[in-house]
Amino acid sequence: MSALLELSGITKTFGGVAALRAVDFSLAAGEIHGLVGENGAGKSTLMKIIAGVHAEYQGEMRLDGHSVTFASPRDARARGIGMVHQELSVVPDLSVAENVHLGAQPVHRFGMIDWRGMRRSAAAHLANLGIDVDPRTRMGSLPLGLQQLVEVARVLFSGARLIILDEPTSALAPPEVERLFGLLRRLRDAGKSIVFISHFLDDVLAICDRVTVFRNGQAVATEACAQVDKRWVIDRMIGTGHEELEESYLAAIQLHSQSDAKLVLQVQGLTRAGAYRDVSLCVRSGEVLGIYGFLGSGQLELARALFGVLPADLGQIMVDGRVVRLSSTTRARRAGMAFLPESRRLMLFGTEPVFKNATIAILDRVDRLWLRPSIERGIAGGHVRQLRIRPPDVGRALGTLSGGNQQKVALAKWLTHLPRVLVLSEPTRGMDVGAKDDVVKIVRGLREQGIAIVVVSTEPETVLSLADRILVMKKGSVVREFADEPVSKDRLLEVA
Amino acid sequence: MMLPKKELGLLVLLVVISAITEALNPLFLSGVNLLDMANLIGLFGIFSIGEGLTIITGGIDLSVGSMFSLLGVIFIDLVANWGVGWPLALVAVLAGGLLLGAIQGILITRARMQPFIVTLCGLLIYRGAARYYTDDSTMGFGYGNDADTLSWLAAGRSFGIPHSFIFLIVVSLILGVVLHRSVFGRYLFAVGKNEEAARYSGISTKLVITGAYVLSGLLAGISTIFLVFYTNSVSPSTFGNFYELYAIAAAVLGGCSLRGGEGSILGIVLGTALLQVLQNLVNILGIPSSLNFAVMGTVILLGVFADQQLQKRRAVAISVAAQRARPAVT
Repeated sequence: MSALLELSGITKTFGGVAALRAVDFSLAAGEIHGLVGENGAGKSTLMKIIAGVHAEYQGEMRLDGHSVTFASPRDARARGIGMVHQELSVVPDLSVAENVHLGAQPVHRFGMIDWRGMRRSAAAHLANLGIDVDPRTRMGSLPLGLQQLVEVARVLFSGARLIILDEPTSALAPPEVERLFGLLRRLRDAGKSIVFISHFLDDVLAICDRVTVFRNGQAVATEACAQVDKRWVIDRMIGTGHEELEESYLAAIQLHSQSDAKLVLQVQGLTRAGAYRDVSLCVRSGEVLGIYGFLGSGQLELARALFGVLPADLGQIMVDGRVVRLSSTTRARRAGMAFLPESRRLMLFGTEPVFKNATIAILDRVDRLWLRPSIERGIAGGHVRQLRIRPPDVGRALGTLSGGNQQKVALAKWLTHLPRVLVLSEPTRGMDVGAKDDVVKIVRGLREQGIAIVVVSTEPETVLSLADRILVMKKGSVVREFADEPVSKDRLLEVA
Repeated sequence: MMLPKKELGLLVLLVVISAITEALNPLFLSGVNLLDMANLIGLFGIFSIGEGLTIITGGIDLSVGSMFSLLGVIFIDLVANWGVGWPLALVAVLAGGLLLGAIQGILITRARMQPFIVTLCGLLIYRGAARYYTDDSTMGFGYGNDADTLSWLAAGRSFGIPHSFIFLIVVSLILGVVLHRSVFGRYLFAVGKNEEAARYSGISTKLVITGAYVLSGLLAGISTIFLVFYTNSVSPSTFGNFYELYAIAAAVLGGCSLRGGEGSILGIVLGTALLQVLQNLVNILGIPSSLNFAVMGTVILLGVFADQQLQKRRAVAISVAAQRARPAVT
């Protein structure tokens, strides 16, 4: 195998923090190369360097044996490097043919678009790749799996011979994954090179020729996929060295479920097309249920169904033994549900003072009809003291607080009149250690008060630090429950 | 209570422009002129407040001018041609405004259509309906009907003060309390500032937004009565033409942001007053009345521009403060 792309000694720092440290990486012509590693391990940084997004770095990149530097993504595209992002960059309102030709429509004289020529060449190109789609179809009407194939076709059409696929299988059902793999194999046989970035280790091992594992900004191992198994990859991802073992997350955490407490939340057969299928779960009073899965596994949508934001298509939800219909957030709130979304912006009013943010969700119970700002300030003041919100000034505009303190205000919204069920989505994402500890303490305190808590996250550490029981979701289904047993990060990664 | 900065600025502007007008023509502060202006401020203020409420939710109501025409011809027809007693006709008009507002609100929230489109179509439909209903002919009261009491209520004066102005004060007080002192009012602002966040807080955003359009419709119904007795007849093709634009202008001048989430009742009333003083200025100075709109447009543009500059400064101050807050926790 001759190397199409060779990187040596790549180092990239962001504001003094090393994202990549002396990484060597080579990609052969006609190879599918898997890239795995935890969030923040450096995979995407490396791909952004290859795709010309990051132009500043140390080290050398050689394409076809010649040293190259890309000043921009356009540069990289011109040299035959294409990227398909997890969030597809298709235009749903245009036809398949227009999407394939995006940015390079064939034109007649006078600059008019040559529609017929465009359809013909798109049809030929798609047929050539074995993609069975009518080029006149509106892109948005295709299932996601097909849209992705068309996007791959578009990248190829623009002249790519090296394609980077970022999490291509996270939103695909098994048959769609097979179809994608079929296309990738055909491309490989035609001499194209593919970088396959994914959290789904089974998929990586199934399709890739070689796999490179990233950890803490370093490429720690590269091996032929035929030689290794999932266990080997996970060990490399987490590290088995002394230094990592000391970190608490690798040590197994013993789960203790509260099997005798009252059932508060019961969910049966919850289904939402394209998001999750047949999810059943229950949470007891004073119990924290963790739901872990990679991005796109359906757990974020599930959390929204529990608060009436994105109601489920099918299934039943019971709170305290009574069936509730969560068709709106107002109904969900009245049914005793509370929700903290993963983005603070969805929850808070940045220009409004802290106290108005803290009381907006309970106004109708505190004030009924007329506002009583002094009472609101009193309530908010209590939360500020209890949650140690800094600075302790309830009249301050919320936007002037730090992220961790804003998150505490978001939590405070639900703490005046305690809900029966509290659903937290990525409650500690992007927080520093101190703020994370505070949130963990707050959640533990709420558990003591008998609230049923659901913590949804794509980060194993978040679930492990909070949950009494853990469900793992994969591509929309619950695939494993951990209860009354030791569980560690590598076990979670293994089943997800 | 201290006056908020924005309203204080408006008040100063109002005083300055009044002073200039007075200096140019001492008739400005004459009793007759002031009472005339008070009457107009009353007439325009009532529905401008409704307009302001929809703007605070991040929407707009373009239909009020046409509503006046449609509800106006219905009212006159009921009283003059059908012999319906004025209390019943009054109730019919108020109910009509309420209903039209509710329909628009439901289309906006349930069918998720844009407020601009829904109320623009309302503008066209109501105007067309009014003109068809009357065969495009002007409707008047004729003689010998029993609406004299209502006529006095709407167009009369007590202690020399026009009733429309008194009524505006009453409406302002009521809706001022609703907007600034009630839970519903807080919800209106919340929906306008960040509809998602309001929804994620368990607020029935659809109900709140519909409520704003219902109130706007109701106030349009009330204004119809005042306007009908101000002109005593309704020509369906011109009655209330462009009034929605006066209302939008007054609300925006009064500090309502078309992005939603900002505004006050006092500001809207001051905005209405400012517009009327400007009109008066144009008349008194003998500026050709054809330039009327151009003068108003320029002043509104300048006012909103100045306001935006102030806002920008405040946003910068907030982000600077946030920058300072960050290292404190790490």
